Amino acid sequence: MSDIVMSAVDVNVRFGGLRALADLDLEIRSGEVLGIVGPNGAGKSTLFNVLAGAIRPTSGRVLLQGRDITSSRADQRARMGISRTFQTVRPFLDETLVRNVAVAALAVGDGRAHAMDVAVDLLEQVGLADKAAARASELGHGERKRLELARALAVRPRVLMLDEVMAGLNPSEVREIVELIRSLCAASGSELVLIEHLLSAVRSLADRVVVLDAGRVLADGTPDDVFGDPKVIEAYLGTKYATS
Amino acid sequence: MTTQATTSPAPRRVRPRRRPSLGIIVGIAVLAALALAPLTGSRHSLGIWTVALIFAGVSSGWAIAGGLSGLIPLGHAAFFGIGGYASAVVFAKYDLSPWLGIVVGMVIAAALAWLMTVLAVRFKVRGPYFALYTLAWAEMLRILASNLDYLGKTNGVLVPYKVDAGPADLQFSDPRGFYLVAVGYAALAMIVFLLVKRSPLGWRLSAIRGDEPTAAASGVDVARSLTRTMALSAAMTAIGGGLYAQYIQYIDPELAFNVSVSIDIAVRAILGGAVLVLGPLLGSVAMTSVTELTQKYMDALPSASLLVLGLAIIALAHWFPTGIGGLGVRLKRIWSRRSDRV
Amino acid sequence: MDWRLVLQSVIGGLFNGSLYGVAAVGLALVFGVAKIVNLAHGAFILLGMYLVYVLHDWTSLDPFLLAFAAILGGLAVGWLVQRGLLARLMATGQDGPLLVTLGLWIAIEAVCAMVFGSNPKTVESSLSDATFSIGPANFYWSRLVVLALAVAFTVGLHWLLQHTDLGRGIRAVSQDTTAAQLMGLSVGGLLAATMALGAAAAFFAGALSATLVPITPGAATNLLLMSFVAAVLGGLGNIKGAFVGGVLIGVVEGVGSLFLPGTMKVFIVFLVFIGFLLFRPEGLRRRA
Ligand SMILES: Nc1ncnc2c1ncn2[C@@H]1O[C@H](COP(=O)(O)OP(=O)(O)O)[C@@H](O)[C@H]1O
Ligand SMILES: [Mg+2]
Repeated sequence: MSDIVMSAVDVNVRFGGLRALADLDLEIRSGEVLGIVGPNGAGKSTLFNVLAGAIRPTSGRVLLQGRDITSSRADQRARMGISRTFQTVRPFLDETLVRNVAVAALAVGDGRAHAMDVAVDLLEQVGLADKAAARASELGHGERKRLELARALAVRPRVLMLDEVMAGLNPSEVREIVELIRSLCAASGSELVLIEHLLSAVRSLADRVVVLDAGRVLADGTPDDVFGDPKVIEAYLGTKYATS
Repeated sequence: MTTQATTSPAPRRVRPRRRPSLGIIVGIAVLAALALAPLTGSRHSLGIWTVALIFAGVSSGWAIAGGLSGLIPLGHAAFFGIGGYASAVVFAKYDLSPWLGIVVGMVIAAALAWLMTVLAVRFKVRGPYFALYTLAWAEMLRILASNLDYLGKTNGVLVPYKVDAGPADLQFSDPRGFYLVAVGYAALAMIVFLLVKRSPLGWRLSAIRGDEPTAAASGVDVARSLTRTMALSAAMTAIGGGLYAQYIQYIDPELAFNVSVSIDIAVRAILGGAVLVLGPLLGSVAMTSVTELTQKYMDALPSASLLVLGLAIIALAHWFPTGIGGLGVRLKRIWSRRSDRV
Repeated sequence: MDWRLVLQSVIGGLFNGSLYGVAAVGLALVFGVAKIVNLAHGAFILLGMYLVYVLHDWTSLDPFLLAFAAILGGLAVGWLVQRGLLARLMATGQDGPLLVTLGLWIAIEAVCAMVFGSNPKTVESSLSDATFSIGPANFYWSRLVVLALAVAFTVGLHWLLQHTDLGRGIRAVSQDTTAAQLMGLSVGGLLAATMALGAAAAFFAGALSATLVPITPGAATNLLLMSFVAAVLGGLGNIKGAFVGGVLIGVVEGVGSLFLPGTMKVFIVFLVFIGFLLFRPEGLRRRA
């Protein structure tokens, strides 16, 4: 198999009595697009939080190219190139779109002028160039998701984790963003991890799919294998596939 | 703060703005007018405006933290008081220049602010908890100062008159001398505020103010940004405390550290607009004007100005969350949209 | 060490603490349910003091009786403040409400100063001079009455929250506003009720302290600060905890005064406060 870029080893996360992640192992391999699916509350966003350093796991380790980064903070990980979007996007509402994106480029070491250039380019890529000088508060829901994507790209990610970027978008917006993500994968060379409820999107984008259920890995394999697995269909697809 | 109209075509390259904004031009004009005002011969209420300007500076110092970072510090009396005591003690007890005392005060205040914020960030004391936390630190200093013999307990420290005093002793035979010092301090505080706001640190603070988790995910070192900002804010505030003690030639625990001092400092900035360069100056001038006017026309009711202030804050929260200055910005935006200007 | 002094300080601290406690209960309730840090709480306490002073002047009834009238005053003021000034801002985050309560604090203190001047007012209870002794230490009866009334109020409030429909509604809002709304509860009304009860606690605390301290426009600041400390100690939002926190501060103060000169005992209180904010923001309770 190809190199392992990032991995979670035996990770547990407890919220009070609740086990959001239980003895979880996950590998992100070089050059792949990994889809993570699972019913609501399965622990997908929690997994992202652990990988991105937003929460510290109760036990277990997170490795980046073999190096233990379990104790490094979210901002340090962002600067190492581990970038993520939030399921609930909260842009810097009072700031212009350029500044929303540029601050991330600044944080990874660009000068201000260069950070602005980077931001404008990224906004163009996500189709928001014409609103570069508008404030984030003026954006609609779908536009905010695209802004979030541009912001996440601005740290020049080695690993890019997208948490339900297609939720709440209409079909044409979904098509746009799928195209966008495709071209990103082709262009950037960074690993892409995708959490998505929209299974058709996962199917068309992902090289490999991991199914989470109740904090555990239920299945791991190619989209065709996974979505054909009766275990998965029972736990998840039986209810969700029809609706998506 | 970029305020271009949204209908304009996309700028190919949006550079950080280098050209002076309207706020800066107005700020320079206002400060110049203030500096020249006493030359017109009217020295009436010069003292009041000296204090108002000192507090404009203090408030600008507060706004570096309270406005730009989104923290709500309610204990800046701690830094104000440290500046006051340091300058008074250095002058009165060691016979050294109060300027030196002010520097000592800045260092102590910055160190304390750094320590406070390191702890607060490490243990996630935020939002209203941070307000109470900072308030408690100021209260501890108030109690400490009222119980320390070295600081004259509740009597405080007197700043003695000096024979052949000069600017090095911060004593002036002409009251306009101190007034000009106050103008200079207010200007300095505003410049520092502006430099921070436009610096990379200012960008980071704006992100933290917007949303902390998103800022962190963007690679912004939240802890370091906040501790530096609080330390700088404290140092700028301490200068004002030092000047104030030298001006009234006296400092005591209540003047230095009382809760009402912390609130006064914060309210001036919030009233004027805490994220705007001109905000604290506007707020301070407004507050002093209200006090003066009510004292002139309602002198039987010395608390009337506080009532007006309280009601103004309530109105502000409802209708002008960005303060008096924010109103100006809004008007400017409407104007620039109408004239179709980018 | 002198036993009489120790008893005097500790039990005296307990009495004081019950006052901090009942004031803190209101603060904790409002924070727990409405998530508002109510800086106007001190102003409410002040209004309670002056209300008792005015009513006492007018009716000559015992101030401890009038404290019950103060509860009514508090209910009305709290309800009005929530409905009139805070409700519209609730959705905009914590800064707006914080600012409004700050403005209220300043304005109410100013109004009191305008109406009553800065000369201290005093209210005498018929019990004011009577004393009793525990071992070698002597205490005023009025202090014991304050303790009893403070405990009674807190127990009553707790009962109301646990066993009435109103209380269940308030608790539902405190846990999850959206869910409460979906259940068909009137969230606005329940928030107003919460603020009313919180203000009632403040008024009651003010009324009780009216017999103990000279009443001036600045008289409530100390009680405000102490009730913040107590509420944090109890775990902001926790009623019983807030009362226990208040009592604890009183005792800490009492014990502190045995060892420390002057007002340094209050230094200890704030030190404890900062310690709690940093290391145990959930308060005295065991970690969940
Ligand atoms: N900060 C938190 N505190 C308590 N429980 C949480 C927290 N975050 C997530 N959870 C719980 O952990 C479980 C997994 O949540 P999440 O990772 O968001 O699921 P998913 O993203 O797969 O829908 C859920 O039961 C959720 O309620
Ligand atoms: Mg999720």
